[in-house]
Amino acid sequence: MPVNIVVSGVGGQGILSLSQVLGESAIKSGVKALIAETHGLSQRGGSIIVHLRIGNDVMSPLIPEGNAHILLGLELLEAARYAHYLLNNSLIVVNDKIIRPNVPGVETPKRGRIINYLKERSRHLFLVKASDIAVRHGNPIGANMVMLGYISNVLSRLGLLKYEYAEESASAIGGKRYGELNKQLFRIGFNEANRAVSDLTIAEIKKLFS
Amino acid sequence: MRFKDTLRISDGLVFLLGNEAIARGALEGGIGLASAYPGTPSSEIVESLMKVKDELDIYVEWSVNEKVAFEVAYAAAISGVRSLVAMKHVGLNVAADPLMSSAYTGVKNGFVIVSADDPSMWSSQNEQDNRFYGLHAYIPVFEPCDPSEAKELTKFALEFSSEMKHPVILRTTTRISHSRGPVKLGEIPKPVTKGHFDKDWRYVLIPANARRNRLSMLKRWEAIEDAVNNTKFNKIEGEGGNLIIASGISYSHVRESIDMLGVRNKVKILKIATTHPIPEKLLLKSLENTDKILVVEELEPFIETHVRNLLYNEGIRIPIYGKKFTGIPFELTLPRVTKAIAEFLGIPYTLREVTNNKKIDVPPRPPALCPGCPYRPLFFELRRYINQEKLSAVLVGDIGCYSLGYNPPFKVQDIIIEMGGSIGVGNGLSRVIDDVVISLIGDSTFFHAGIPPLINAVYNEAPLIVIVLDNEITAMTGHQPSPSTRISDRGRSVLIENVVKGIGVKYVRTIDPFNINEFRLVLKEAINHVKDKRQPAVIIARRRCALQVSREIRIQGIEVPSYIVDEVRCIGCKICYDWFSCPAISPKENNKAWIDPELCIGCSACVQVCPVNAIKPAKQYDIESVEKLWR
Repeated sequence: MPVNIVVSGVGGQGILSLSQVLGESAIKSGVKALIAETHGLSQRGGSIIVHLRIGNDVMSPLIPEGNAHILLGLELLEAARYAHYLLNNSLIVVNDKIIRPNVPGVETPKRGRIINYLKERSRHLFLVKASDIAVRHGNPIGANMVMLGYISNVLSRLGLLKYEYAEESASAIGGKRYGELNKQLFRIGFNEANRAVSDLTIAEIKKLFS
Repeated sequence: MRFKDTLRISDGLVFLLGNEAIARGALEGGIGLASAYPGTPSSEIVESLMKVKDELDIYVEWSVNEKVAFEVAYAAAISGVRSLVAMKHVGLNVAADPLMSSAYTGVKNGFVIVSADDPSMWSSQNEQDNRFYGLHAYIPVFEPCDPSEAKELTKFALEFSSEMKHPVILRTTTRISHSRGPVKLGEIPKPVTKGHFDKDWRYVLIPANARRNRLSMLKRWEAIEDAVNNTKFNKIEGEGGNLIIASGISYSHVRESIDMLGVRNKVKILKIATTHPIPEKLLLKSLENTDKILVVEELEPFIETHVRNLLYNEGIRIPIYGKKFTGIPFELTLPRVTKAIAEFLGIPYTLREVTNNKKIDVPPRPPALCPGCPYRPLFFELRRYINQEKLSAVLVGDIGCYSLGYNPPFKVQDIIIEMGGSIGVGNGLSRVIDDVVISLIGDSTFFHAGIPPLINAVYNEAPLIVIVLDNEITAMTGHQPSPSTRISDRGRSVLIENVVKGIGVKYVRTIDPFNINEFRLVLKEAINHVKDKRQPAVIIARRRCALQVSREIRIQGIEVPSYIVDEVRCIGCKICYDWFSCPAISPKENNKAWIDPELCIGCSACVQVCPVNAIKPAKQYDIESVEKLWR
């Protein structure tokens, strides 16, 4: 059975590059992967969902609702918006950050409410201060690299890909100027996952798809 | 891996976007020329080829519109150079004229027309099913089922076209073009880029020759109808009395659905890659011992109708289901297909449904103009002017990022129809309504289809204001160049002012959209000009796309500026976040503004809309170097 990963966030957060690295790393690790992306107009600051499916029997690029094993959110509202894609008690990893939708007078749910909602969906909720870390390290658009490091650690421990491939790609993305910084951000995310996500959690998530 | 890096590889699996796979297939199929006008979901095909053209020494161009792109690639194919032209589904409407003729003349070497359709209209004004163009024009239509087959089928389409001396449409959809998957690479032959045009009556479509061509086209079509039965891309899988016919992405959904339902041994699948003409012999073979048929295809019942036709002609009576179970509008999904198959087989639908139905109220997040977008200050001021002056105006928009001006707070697009429609529809409106008519059109769209209607406005004296939004790039589809893009060694190809003045427009002004006071004065003047002279007026608003500028700031290693709000000064008036509506600015609990350093790109446009001067740079920046890139 393929492992279904929903990656969501706001257009411009680097979700496509992140997902591409994950898929490519899976292929290099000898597992088939398919990604369905969103391009074009919807990319301009809109809500983005990318479907990433890993497994040798995967054919269709789209994840059915209620069938995702992992939700990787680059923003809290966008994690909540697509949480119904998840199986109960699957893994949620989300950047601890709210970006207000660009709608005049819009009422945004409070952080606490969103987190409670996500907790109702799963007891395996992990918040990552990816945006704060990226801004602090002088690459304001590098939150995706922190999240990439985090999820690569998890997927690697789940046996779905070798994180070394993802780390290599992360430093290739930024070119000469930002490559080293991206690698550093990747590492921070990676170590954070090592610390926060227990082997027990990994074992429970693994049960969902094996 | 970057597309360019895959050139060195002639074996093994790489992870490619469907559109990159099509580009690769074209290279393996030996193209010497490719052309396109960008449009989602087709843009990455020629974008990829653009990246490798120098290394392979092939000719690749972004054409001014799809019709010209088509003609460029067609010319290569009738001269013996294999070619590909790519466009989005609605682009083929623009190129429909040469498309029809190309089937009459046929071609000398492989010619593939890629039509990237957009079921569910992720980035489009409609979800027209372009397989009907094949039916309409007598051109074969091939459909790949995943990125891997997209590569193989593109290569095959070029070979098929060469052999049949006839154009071929490769029809993809968003979920093929924008899916990434493993693709097995093959050899890229040395491309042939020089051809020879053999003069022949068949290329001169005067009525007498067209009649002869019509007959030879029908003859070629017979050969094509026969040949499609023999490709490995069409095949029968499994056995049993339940036949499922599927093409394109629908086939991939079907394959996974039958496993999810556990019915693999109960169904037979006819996979069709040559949707038009349908492989009749193979279809008849698949009907042996068949009790009922389900056709799974996206959008219109194209295959379903053809199957029904064939069965009627052959006197076969087997129940055929299709749209009855799958429905017509929007893209197919795994649950939709699984449900249809379950209904067809009369078994319960077992796909896991959403178990936890509790939902949180997440406000919608429509796409928005980017932070720093040059259109924002202009739209802000346009809306403010109309409101303050109680101006009765109809704003006719067009296709591009500026379509986003439809949304609140700007609401500066009352009509959006198709490429170039802003000026054409504006012409007509100015004849029948008394409101001020303002057409808004981007630079790339202006060159694509905006010039003839502007000539019409001059020639027929239409009292119309046209605002050309010149950000010097085709932004929405991913920053392909437009004729107004400045190229370092030769400058701008075409200056919009020269075109507009050359056409004969008397009132032409160029403004910086970041200067809202200047825009207000010019707008007022233009309104008076149109009113008094009953002639068109053109305002050109020029400033570079913010995404391009911020990318270049980063590449050049200049520190990206960022702005902050002086909280003591800020009075919480909401103008900057609710009316100017920059995504980087949001309210705090006390309604005072806060600028997100993750989103701000330091364009400084918000500074002038703050009534109390509360917005300032976070620190000292090299503003001069940054400002140079914006202009």
